[in-house]
Amino acid sequence: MSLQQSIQQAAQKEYSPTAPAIAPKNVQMYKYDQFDDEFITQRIDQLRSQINRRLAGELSEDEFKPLRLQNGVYLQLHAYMLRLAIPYGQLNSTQMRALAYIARKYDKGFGHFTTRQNIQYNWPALSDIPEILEDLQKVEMHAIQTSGNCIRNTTSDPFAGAAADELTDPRPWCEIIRQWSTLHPEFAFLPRKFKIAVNAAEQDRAAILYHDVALQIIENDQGEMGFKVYVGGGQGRTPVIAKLVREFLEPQYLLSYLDAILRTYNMLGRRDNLYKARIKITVNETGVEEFSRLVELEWNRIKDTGFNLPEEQKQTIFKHFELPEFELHQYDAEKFESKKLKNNGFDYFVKNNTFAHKQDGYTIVSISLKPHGGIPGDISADQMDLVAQLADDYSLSEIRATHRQNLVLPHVKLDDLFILWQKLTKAKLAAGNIGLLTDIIACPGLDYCALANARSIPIAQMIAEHFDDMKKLNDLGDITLNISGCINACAHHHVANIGILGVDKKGEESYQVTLGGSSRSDADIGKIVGPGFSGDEIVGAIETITNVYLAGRTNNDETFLAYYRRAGQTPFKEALYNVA
Amino acid sequence: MLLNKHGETAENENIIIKDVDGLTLHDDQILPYAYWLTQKAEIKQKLNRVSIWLDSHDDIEALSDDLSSIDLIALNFPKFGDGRAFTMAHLLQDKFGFKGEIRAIGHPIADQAQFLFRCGVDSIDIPAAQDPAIWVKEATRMSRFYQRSAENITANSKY
Amino acid sequence: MAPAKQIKPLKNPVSVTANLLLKGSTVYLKADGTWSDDIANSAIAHDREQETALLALANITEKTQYVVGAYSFDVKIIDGKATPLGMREIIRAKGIPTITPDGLTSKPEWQNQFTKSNASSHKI
Ligand code: HEM
Ligand code: SF4
Repeated sequence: MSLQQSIQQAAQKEYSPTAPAIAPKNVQMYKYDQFDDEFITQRIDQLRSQINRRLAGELSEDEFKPLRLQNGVYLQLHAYMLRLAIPYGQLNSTQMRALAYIARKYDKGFGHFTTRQNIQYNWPALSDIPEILEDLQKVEMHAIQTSGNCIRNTTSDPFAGAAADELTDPRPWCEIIRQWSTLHPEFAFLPRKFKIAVNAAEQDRAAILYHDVALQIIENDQGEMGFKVYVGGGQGRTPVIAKLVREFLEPQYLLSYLDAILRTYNMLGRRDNLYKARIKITVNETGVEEFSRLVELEWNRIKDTGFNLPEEQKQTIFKHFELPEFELHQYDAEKFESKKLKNNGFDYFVKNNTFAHKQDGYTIVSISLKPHGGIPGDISADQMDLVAQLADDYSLSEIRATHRQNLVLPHVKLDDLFILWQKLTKAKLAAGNIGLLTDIIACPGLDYCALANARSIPIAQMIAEHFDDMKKLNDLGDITLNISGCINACAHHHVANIGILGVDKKGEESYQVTLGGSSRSDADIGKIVGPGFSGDEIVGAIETITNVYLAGRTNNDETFLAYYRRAGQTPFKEALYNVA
Repeated sequence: MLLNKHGETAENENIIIKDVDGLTLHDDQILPYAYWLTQKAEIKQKLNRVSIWLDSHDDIEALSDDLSSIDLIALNFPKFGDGRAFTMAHLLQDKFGFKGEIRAIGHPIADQAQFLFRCGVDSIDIPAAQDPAIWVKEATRMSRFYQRSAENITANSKY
Repeated sequence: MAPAKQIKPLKNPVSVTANLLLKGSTVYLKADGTWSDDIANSAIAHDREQETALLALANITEKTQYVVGAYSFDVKIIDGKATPLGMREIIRAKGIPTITPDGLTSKPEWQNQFTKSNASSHKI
């Protein structure tokens, strides 16, 4: 069957999650047992009864709102929005097909991948949501704690379990955290939302230092594995880099240590001011030494009597993530190189969209959801079906979502890469721009979001359309550009090399530019370069900024961020505002 | 109306005292924390059964020495979104070994009932004008838990 | 005691909008207290008193769990009908975003979204 036919068939097929079109192979991910399934059933029943109580007037909107939020239900400008959890960003092909099915049946045929490795639907009716959740349950997914003042979906490295540069696979730990945090009775009404991220790789691909708790898996001098624990990172109106509170936490104490952090925060966190309620403010106001002293005090009380996952049950969870059987195969390097020479597009794709796999002969492939002029993070139901098919054919049925709003096929044989690229090209999913200027993170902004000051998506599209020369983009190299529609910073504009923030200037949409942020291990917060720009001026401003860099860099190896750190804001200010 | 963790209701015989002006002490009163702090000796002497209530910002650590002379501690929800009572209940029970009754008062919502019980709360004072039937239902809503409940009870919990 | 807050007169006429509780879609309050999905049908208040009356009217249906989050917003009157002021309400009134992802019908009126005429309609 040709690719075209298979897309058409997937699109026409009345796909139902009860009868998966193609059952996924034995994907290495956490699989629900009966307990998990019954838990979800009860939780959906609860939400259904909460919706009924709201409709009967037994719950006020004030009371209902936090309850619906804890099930991922927001109210936006045009409709409700439902955010589904993709635990630590991992999906199998059946789940992806179910997402496509939901997009068609309850939405307008598309979904939006977020910076927290989740997916959002923009058009469901409140009355449909229990049914959507029941469909999801069939493929072992849920929307629990994807919003609200509780512990949110744990995020991690999208390349986890595949990356050559990882110390160990962080996913089992994420799963342990997911279960511990799910309806944790003590921490469902925290002062504010609480996000945990885990990384085990050299590179930080999950922006962990901007989370309330960041866990970096390390090895100590004795070769034992443990966690380096940071607390109090976050974005929003006050971006803060998380601070180190513990150099080395023995893994068996992970849950009691988290309990101690959360308990301390639940008591100390401010409840008088929503904007000062995150743990980043608690840590700043209490002082990191005092805060960690209190955590250690509580932890020492509970570390042996409180709950830590028993070793045997830990092993059970780890078993779900045992690495797949990779095929040992002869990959034809010569043929591969000649394909790159003949195809510019393939060459860029290989250069930007692939990453070293731990298994020889395999690679990790990023699928950019930032096609030319597209909407960052948006994907149509047909494209979802196609990605599911490609995952079945070329990536052991596995898919990941990234915090930069892209998708990943984590286990692709190098020999399959060219044909995969060809198939992606036909579906307009082969943009080779991962890590380049047009790999933009954009929040929904004023097009959807009730809190927005300005639109984000059209700005992203205009920038992507302006910078459409792959050669120039590659010349500009490694640059991050993020656009948020208001100070809540959903798109992480503070930590982009070039950040754009939508503000309201006397009723007009206006865009403020920050420079020099970074969300990697060299984390930094961008600084405002000067007065904002109108929607008509912003593309020109970005062009000016990139030209300053191109003209000023010492050589091609000096990245935008490195240049900025050397040269400072002055050359950019001079060029943008014509100041001498 | 009071609700317990088995979803049973009972009449509430207690009166929550907010204003202590001209107060004559009585066993069924739940006294303000500040009043207790200043009048401990008198209260202990006069009452057979001592009940006090704490607001969410009150310091439970300061109470730890007195716990053996207190029979009931009520934790106030000034608004339902203020979740400190969950941790306060846990600390009372787990850290300070409080053996008396822990009660939630003020403005919790039915959807919090089971969480409260799992943190060590023994009874909830159902806010007036609310349908107790909803509270009864929510008290036992879930029977699958990923955490152990107060006192490390593993019934129905995964681990 | 703080001085009583001066109630400022309305700068622009206002209408009242909300979202349907069940569906979530945008609706506008009509003079008879019912709701329409077309802003052109909305009742218009010209002073604070009328605005308060409209919000009170909206509150009645909000209490019946039909709509949620009613509030007033600035409008401009064209041919006797309310039209939205400001990008937020312009986008809400259209009922779709200004960008058109796959799966949404493309609306030509959103072309040239950043030309001055459209973006500055806030100023009268
Ligand atoms: C459209 C509906 C949305 C609403 C109403 C919303 C609301 C918010 C709010 C209020 C905050 C600030 C919270 C704080 O005080 O720190 C926030 C932060 C954030 N949101 Fe959203 N958001 C929405 C969509 C999204 C989307 C689409 C993404 C991903 C692209 C996202 C990811 C984030 C992230 C990563 C943060 C920063 C978290 C941090 O401070 O650590 N949100 N959001
Ligand atoms: S940054 Fe602001 S505008 Fe963008 S999604 Fe978040 S809350 Fe909405």
